[in-house]
Amino acid sequence: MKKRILVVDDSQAILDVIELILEAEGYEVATSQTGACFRQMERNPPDLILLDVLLSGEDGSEICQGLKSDERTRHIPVILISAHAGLRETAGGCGADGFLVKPFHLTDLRDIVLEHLA
Amino acid sequence: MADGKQAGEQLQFQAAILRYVTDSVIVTDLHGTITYWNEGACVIFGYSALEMIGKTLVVLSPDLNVAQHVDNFERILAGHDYAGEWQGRRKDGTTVWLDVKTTILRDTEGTAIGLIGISKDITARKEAEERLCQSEKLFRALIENMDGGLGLTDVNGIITYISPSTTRMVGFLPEEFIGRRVFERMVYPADQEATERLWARVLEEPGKSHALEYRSKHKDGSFLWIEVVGLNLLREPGIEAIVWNYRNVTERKQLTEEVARAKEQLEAILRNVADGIVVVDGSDRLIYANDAVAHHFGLPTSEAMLASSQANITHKHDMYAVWDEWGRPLPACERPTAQAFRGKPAQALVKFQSKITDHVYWSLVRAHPIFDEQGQVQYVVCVYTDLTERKEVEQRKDHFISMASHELRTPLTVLSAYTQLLRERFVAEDRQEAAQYLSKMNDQITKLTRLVVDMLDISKMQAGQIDMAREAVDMEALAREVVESLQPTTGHHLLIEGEARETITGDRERLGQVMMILLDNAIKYSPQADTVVVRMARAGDMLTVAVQDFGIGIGNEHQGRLFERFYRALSKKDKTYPGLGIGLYIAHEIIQRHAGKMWVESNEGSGSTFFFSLPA
Repeated sequence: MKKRILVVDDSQAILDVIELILEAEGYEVATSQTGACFRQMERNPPDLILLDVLLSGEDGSEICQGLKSDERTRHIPVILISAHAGLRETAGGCGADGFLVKPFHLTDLRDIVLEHLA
Repeated sequence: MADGKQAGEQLQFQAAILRYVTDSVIVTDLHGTITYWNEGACVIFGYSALEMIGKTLVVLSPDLNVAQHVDNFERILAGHDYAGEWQGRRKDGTTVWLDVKTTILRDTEGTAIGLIGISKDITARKEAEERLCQSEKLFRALIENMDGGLGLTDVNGIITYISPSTTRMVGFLPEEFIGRRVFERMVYPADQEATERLWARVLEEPGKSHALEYRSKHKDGSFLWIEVVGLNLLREPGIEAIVWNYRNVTERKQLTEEVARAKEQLEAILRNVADGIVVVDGSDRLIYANDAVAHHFGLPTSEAMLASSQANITHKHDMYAVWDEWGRPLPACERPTAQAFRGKPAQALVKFQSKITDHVYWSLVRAHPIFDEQGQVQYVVCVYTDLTERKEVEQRKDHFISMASHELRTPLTVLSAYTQLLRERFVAEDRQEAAQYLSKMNDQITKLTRLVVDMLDISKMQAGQIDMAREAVDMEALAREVVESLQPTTGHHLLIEGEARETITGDRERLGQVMMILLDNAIKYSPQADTVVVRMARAGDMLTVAVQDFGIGIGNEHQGRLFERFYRALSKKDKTYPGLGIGLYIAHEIIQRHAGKMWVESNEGSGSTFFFSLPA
């Protein structure tokens, strides 16, 4: 059974390339440009979430905090991705499991996903 | 002989009467020998009859003018009685003034037999006269020599006396005044009405002083400012005049006018400068504020500011939240005003936020102490340069840069990811050359990303939004890491010299960024050289890192400004070096946030060494 990864970023180009990279690794990838995808997530929860911090009109760290305070979603690893290296601390603060700076090395992306799916 | 006897008896009889007269009666023979000396003479001169009869008058008058005496004597003998004032000497040596009448004494046949002198003691009167004369002299001297002038007029204003000092003041002679009416032809036309009113008031109110400042003509045609005080003493017995005191106040008047003019000028300047200016005294009271400062803080006028005790500087922290340039709360004791009160000029970029309206005011506050004679700070002058608008523009720009940087990062991320994917594919297909091209592409994307990050850092640093991590950093290991990551991208040989086994506390990523910036610059500005050296040494409790290149160097004139944002030290021939002028600014800021120092030593043409030191 393929592991399912949900990628949320407001840029479709980013979603496309991450999907490409991760599918090549053998994962099942779902993408979303908004945080709306989290509303009915408990029906079919992913095994890992890659979440952009600065979504248009939404704050990824707040979404992360919400996921981590909900018993049904708390167990899902969340990796924040951001263009701002300075947000690493924010990531720690909102309970995220990992942090990835954009742009990233492909190996860094593969490693962090693998690490948190293990 | 019977006649002689009769005459003698008569004489004795007369003498008996004369004995009781208080006036001095002295009789001499024709040779001047005293033959009679009455009781009055005893009292006046202090000599008894016994002592004086048979003596001459010389005893009474040691300073006798003989010629005059003889002359008088002759005239008396010729039948002219003498009457006059005469100064004699008492037995005790004191002077006595006498009113003397001398007449000839004849016997019954009419033959002159002697002189009879009757004298009245007028010493007391004489002395009073003398005193009066003295005091008049004294007053005259006083009046004539005093600085001011004095004049007297009668009830019609006709000048009866004018002191020489008055005439000296205006250059006229006393005789040019006497008999003229006071103020007549002497007053500046515009002041004539005032002098006439003064005259009327003085005349109307006896005993009361009235003063006026007016312009008086000088004989040389100029005008002087005179202060005159008129006092009507017409009813005062013995004076019966109007007394006028004059004082030349031209200098004072000119000085006052000059001061007033200077003050006006200064006021006009202070009113119209764009900077806000306040003056605070030693007890922290606001004693001056111009309109600009009132406007700066949202008040309609400086009066409103001065009137409101709330506007008092000391209370400002009640009305305003005060922050420093980087958005940290600025305690009252660290503000420029407080520093100036401690004796040193101070300045700071300060952000005020009204607690009532939430309005934000940015000011460059410069405070200067003003000392009293004891060297204590008496006042502090504070100049507020309104930077609100500039700050707002800066903030908009920083916000723009921040957004732009973020926007740029998305395509860079995508580009970088596809480049890496492609490279992996070429490697898998064993197309090494193509894979290498893509490696180089990705290096450039990394470089581009760093520029974008730098721009973002700058705007964050300006806004004070950068937080430094505090972790143990092995500087030597960090230097090796940076050098290793850079070495493949450059033809320069990057050397590390020296050892620094200590770790310091700081932000590893940021300190790495500093070394990256310095190494990047060293490589960039030494195209003809092939080596860049990184040296590390510990001195005292500071760890110093030096990055030395052997390139074009930096002129002295630029060295002081190198660490300013967007500053570029380029002469015309160096135009070909691209750059944004942000690297050193960022490096400097990062080192400062680590409580460290950064400096440069450089000579044009022989390379530069950039140093930074951090508390170890």
